[in-house]
Amino acid sequence: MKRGFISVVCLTFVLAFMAPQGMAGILDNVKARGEVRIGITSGLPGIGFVDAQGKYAGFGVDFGRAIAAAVGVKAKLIAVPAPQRFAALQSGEIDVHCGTNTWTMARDTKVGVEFPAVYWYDGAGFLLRKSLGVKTAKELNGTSVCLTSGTTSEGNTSDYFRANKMTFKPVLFAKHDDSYRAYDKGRCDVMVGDKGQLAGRRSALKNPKEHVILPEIISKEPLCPMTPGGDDQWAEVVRWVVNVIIVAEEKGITQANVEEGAKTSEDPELKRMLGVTGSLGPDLGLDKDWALRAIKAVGNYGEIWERNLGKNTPLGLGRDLNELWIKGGLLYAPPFR
Amino acid sequence: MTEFSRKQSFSWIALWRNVAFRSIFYQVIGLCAFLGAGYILFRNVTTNMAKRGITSGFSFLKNEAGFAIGEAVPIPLLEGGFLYFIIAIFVGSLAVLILSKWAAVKGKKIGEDNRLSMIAFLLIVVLPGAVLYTTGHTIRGVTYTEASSYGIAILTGILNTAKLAVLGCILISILGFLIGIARLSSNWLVSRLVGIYIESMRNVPVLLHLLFWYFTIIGTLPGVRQSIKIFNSIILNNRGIFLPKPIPEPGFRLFLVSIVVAFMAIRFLVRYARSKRDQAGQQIPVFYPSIVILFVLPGLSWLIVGAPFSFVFPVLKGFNYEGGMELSPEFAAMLFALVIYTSAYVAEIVRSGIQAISRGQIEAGLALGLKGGQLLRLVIVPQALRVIIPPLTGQYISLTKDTSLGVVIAYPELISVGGTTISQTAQAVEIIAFTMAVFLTFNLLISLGLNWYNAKIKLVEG
Repeated sequence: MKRGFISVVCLTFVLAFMAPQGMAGILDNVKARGEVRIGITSGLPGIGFVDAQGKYAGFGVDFGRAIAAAVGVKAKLIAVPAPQRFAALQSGEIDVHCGTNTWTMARDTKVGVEFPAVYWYDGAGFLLRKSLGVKTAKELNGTSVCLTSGTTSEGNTSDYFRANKMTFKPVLFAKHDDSYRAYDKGRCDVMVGDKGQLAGRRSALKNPKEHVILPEIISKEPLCPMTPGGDDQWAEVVRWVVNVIIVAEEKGITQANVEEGAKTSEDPELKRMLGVTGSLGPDLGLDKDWALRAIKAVGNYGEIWERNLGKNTPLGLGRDLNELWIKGGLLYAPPFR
Repeated sequence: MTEFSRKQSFSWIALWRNVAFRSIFYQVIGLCAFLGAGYILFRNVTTNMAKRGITSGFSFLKNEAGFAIGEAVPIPLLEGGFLYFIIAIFVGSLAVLILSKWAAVKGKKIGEDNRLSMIAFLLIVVLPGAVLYTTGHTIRGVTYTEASSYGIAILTGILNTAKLAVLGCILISILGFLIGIARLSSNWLVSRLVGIYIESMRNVPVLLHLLFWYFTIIGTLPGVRQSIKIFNSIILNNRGIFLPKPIPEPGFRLFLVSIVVAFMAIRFLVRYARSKRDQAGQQIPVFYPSIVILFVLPGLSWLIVGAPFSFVFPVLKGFNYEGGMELSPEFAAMLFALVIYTSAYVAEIVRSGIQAISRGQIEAGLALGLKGGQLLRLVIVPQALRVIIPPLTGQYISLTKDTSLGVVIAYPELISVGGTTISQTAQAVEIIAFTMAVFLTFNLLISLGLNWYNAKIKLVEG
């Protein structure tokens, strides 16, 4: 909460002392600074967490690294708790937040942040103990539910229980760590969160086998990187880095073969994307190798998924909606033209 | 004076040399600079917020909140009985104020005059009490639900903060006083043990207290199905403490009246005993008769019209116990941690207050033949209070501010509710400003109350 207070104070000061005219573009600032400040979620295994080597890793972290590589600067990773991410963006403490940020209308229209592209189609679900013997979410009337403040799960849970004429008792913590710890200690019957997050956190519980995630999905959670409002150029950079990662998988380009592909490929769209022909990169405000560097840094979408969330990780998540459109999923990036 | 000399007397230089004018001039310049800077900052905030697409203003307070709050105190609506009650308190206080002014003109004091103090008591306690008694059934409260507005949500947060702060301040006063006296005990073991308690509790950060007690409470208490049951009516598990809930029965009103009458009777007894002591030098026993009155009168009402309460017992339904009164582990941990932490400070304040009394006062009391309890009540405490009250105010204030740490362990106080509201409406500047204003108001009220009390008990010279 201390951090939150500092963020809000920073925000107020920045808003108060900043000259109302002339905000320099974030992209220019990032280039001048030589590093991009990336806000990440902390303490969510597979998404943004400190791994066994003591380094930040996860799905969001990889996208953050891709953005830094595309711009050609260093990535500075800053853990920002969920309730403070908006203030952190607005005050300029971070340039982009790569976490589980749900794109909602209210956030888009009145919070002063942008959602450049969806990089993960998730949905909220329920995590509970097998011993309760609950088979469907309709049986959850009267339960205690652990939640984290400042997440869409708060509103989603209320909406779901109200729609089904059930009641619940929220136990609302400021940090994911504390809410899962309280759930693990038995303070709550149920933990609500995005399914990817629940899977990640379940792997870190005392005894993961005792817990089960119910099949129901109670909400749409289009998760996006998030940029400060009012800077279209910077939002475009982030949007097209995400598109590069998706299209790379579509074209069979991987971390290993991207340089090879740039030299030998005959695919005109791929050549435009990798900067062999055309001027898409410079038009975006970057150089022509931007896409190549991004893919070389973290690989394509499939590689990022399998490294952080896939079947061989403790999370064991299937691609489901996050499959490419040509394989029946929702991942569909606009053309590089 | 001639025209000429008046002209002569006005000169800018002379004005400038005038100290009073100069100081006012500087103050005005300073004020203008301050207001100007404030205006520029305010304008910048609003312009920059508009530029970044951040909505501002307080109109969101009317919108549906749509999130749930763990524990909600009913908020009485300002209409019917509650409105009359507030008006009665206001009118009563105003009348007492006028009465005291009138008494001052007559050279009397309300506290010293029996008849006047009786009237004041009637106005300030009995009048609102009677209003509450007759119109109490028309009081309607609104309890927060997801369909309530953000305004009600924030009000609920404020009441949760207030609930914790008020209960906390009462408990630290009692506990701190007892521990402070024990610290001065002539019993070596007691004073040392209390010393260890004070030093260890004071020197651990309050956030650690909170986390430790919270996760200890929910970690050691059993689950719902293995609840600890005491007489099958008090139930203890990691979801909270569940107690039987009293429900007023038809006998409740007479019971209430009998308690009020008992207190009035005791007051008369005390006054009678005092005048007897002052006039005839006779000591009349007060304590035991008072206890008898306090039990006999309500007991009589119980016998005549039946029990004032019936109890609803908590029963296991689905996932948890329902019915009955519920004390959440979050509230319990907050209260427990804040009270043991702050009461250690209060204990030190009480100890220093008592030690500040000169030895001669105590010896004089002993020489007069006062017994231990009398010495404490008549000599030590009245003098020690003057030293204790000012620093105690600080402890009340810091406890009130520390309630904001509830957000860490899921107690739904103002900061927690405000945080959710910020995340849903993104109106951080307004909500943080409002939160600051609420805490400022709480703490100014505490200061005001204790300063008034301090002024009342301070040493009157002459």
